[in-house]
Amino acid sequence: MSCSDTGTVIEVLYPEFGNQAGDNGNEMYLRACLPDATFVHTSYGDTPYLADKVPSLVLMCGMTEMQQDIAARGLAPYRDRLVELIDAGVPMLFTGSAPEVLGTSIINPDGTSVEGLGILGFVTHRNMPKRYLDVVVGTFVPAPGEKPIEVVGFKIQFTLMEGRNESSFFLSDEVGFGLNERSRLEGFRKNNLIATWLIGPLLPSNPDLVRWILDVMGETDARLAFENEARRAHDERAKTFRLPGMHLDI
Amino acid sequence: MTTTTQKTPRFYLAMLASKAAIGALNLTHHRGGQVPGVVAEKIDPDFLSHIDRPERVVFVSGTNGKTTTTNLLSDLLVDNGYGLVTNRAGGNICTGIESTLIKNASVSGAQRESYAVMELDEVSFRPVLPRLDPELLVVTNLYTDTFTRSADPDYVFGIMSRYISADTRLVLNADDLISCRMAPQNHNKVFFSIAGLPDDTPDPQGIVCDLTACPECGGRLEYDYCHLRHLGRARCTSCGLTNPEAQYVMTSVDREAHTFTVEERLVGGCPRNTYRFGTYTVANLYNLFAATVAAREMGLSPEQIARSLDGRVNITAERYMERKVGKSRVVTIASKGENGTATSVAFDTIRKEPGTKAVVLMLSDAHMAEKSTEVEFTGWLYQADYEYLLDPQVRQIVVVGETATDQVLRMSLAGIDSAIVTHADSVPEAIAAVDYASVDTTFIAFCVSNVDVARGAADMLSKRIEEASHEL
Repeated sequence: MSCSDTGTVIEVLYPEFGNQAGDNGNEMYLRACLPDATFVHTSYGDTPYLADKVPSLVLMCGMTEMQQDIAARGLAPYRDRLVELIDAGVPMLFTGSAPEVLGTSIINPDGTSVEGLGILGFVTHRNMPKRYLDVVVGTFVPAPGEKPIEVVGFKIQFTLMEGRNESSFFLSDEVGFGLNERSRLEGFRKNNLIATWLIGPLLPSNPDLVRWILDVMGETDARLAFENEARRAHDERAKTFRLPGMHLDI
Repeated sequence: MTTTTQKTPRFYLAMLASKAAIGALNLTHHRGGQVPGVVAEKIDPDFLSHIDRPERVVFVSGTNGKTTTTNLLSDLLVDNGYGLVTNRAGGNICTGIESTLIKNASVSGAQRESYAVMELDEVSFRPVLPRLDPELLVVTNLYTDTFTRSADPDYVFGIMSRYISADTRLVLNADDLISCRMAPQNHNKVFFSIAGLPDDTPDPQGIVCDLTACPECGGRLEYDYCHLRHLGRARCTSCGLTNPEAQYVMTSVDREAHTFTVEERLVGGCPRNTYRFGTYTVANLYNLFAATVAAREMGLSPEQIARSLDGRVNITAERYMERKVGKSRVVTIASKGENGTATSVAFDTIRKEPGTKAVVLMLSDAHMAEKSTEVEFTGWLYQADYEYLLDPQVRQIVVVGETATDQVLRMSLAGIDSAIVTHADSVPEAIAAVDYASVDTTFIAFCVSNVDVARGAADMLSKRIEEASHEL
């Protein structure tokens, strides 16, 4: 499947929802790296760009529980199209609580549930008011034999996931929990789809991961924005997060 | 004084132990705002249900402005002869409320003052309100706050809304389409609203907005105007949700005369009353307005309030303090760590000040820096408007603290020239780096938990300026 002939197009799904906790930093950093790219903001009720075109990247960030339920409903008609694009290798990044929309269902504390898109095989358990906090240092291997990429990030969520990602994880965590507190495997990866619960400015803090994303988008000539500053921020986090007992607190 | 449920031996033991803790704190010159409550809860987990409460209890809550509003309301009541207890020196969570009531109680638990005006943390509605139902509850607004603890406004709204009783008199901000929907089970509400202001914007202000979509259905919102961030007037194009009509409306503001006029639409004739304010900011206006409305609801007359505000009562200066040192001006301006809105409002204040500026950013929580295994979540940096510092009048920015490296990157993404940014490793190094002689004003923007550190930094800079002037 070829990319759009209209140049680089990054589709941001439900940006009016996905502005939680600094996840907006991801789009901010991509804009700095790709000043000539077109950013398509698809709001709730709009027909997604991806419905009949092929974006260079699909981005969806964390949102509230109510907004997740709405987003799952809004994307349901495009579920098969999303699968088609994922299978074709279109890069996608779902961060914060956004991956939960891709699972089979989300179970509320009162036992009721919300149907997910069923693109990834896991179930989300919302456990409000219990808050799960952690810092993460993990390794992303783009392809067997390729140089691993160190990724740092924060996890701040009400949810734990039930499912298996042993053969489809995003990160192998050196520090921090993964799909749930028993797991050290963070998120999912399916072709060039990355679904991760890492929240906040994931891309600004991880220049090597951005490099990989830009490359799979075909933007091999694009320069990392403020690379020195980004590397310093990344290295500081990696060093700090590795200190024994390092944690986030409420 | 209102007696609560039957007191148990455990309650009396808790009371004695917490009183002893207060004595020990006083002896050792420690403040320990929440310690008495912590001690009491250890012994009697349901202590708040057992202690007597003042006859009239007011809580003030909301993301931003609750401390200022609580202090203003307390000062208004005290200035008019009311004896009351506040948690100004204590905490605003359950143990802080308990500590305040313990200090106001005899060993038997009987309350001394018959009024209480206390700030209440939003998430603490869960443990507090089922045990201590206030007569009046003021909610200033809801924004995103510390994400690690409070998640998003929707989550906080759910907690607050659920635990408010049907009887409490609610004072709500009609301009906040999030918090004005509070507690549908309660029909004892009064709303306040500010009418159009000259500096209103057509859309919400800031790099992110807490109200980009309808909080009821997720639909698209159309704004008429915004006074401050998302506070203003909007309607949902899908479900029709809109701001409620207010009973207290600030119809005009005279910035030259430092007065605002409030029309009361609760009674016939819609009387108008004019009050004085000190420093003009929209945030200050909202806080003063909320306190004024609460005071009216508590029974103060407009004349009493106006007399108090005419010189005796106003917003305390701790959050914005300026000093003149020789030809230089040094301003400390408070923000709220991990709160993008409060930080953005502080940045906005700085950019709107006249003259050239140097800005020292010490926004990381000092208490976290002291904990070697605790890290601060940096997501909020991307919700704060560092873009406001992209101003030709801002000639230098010095950043210090645990998240300084992240802030340097954030400022680069905001378009700020890295040549004007200095990353300092310590507060003395930051102050030494300030080129105060090249600017009209040096601003020290600090987190509210760093008051002492900020004051020390301002002292350090003042001393440096004075010493330099002596050398000339």
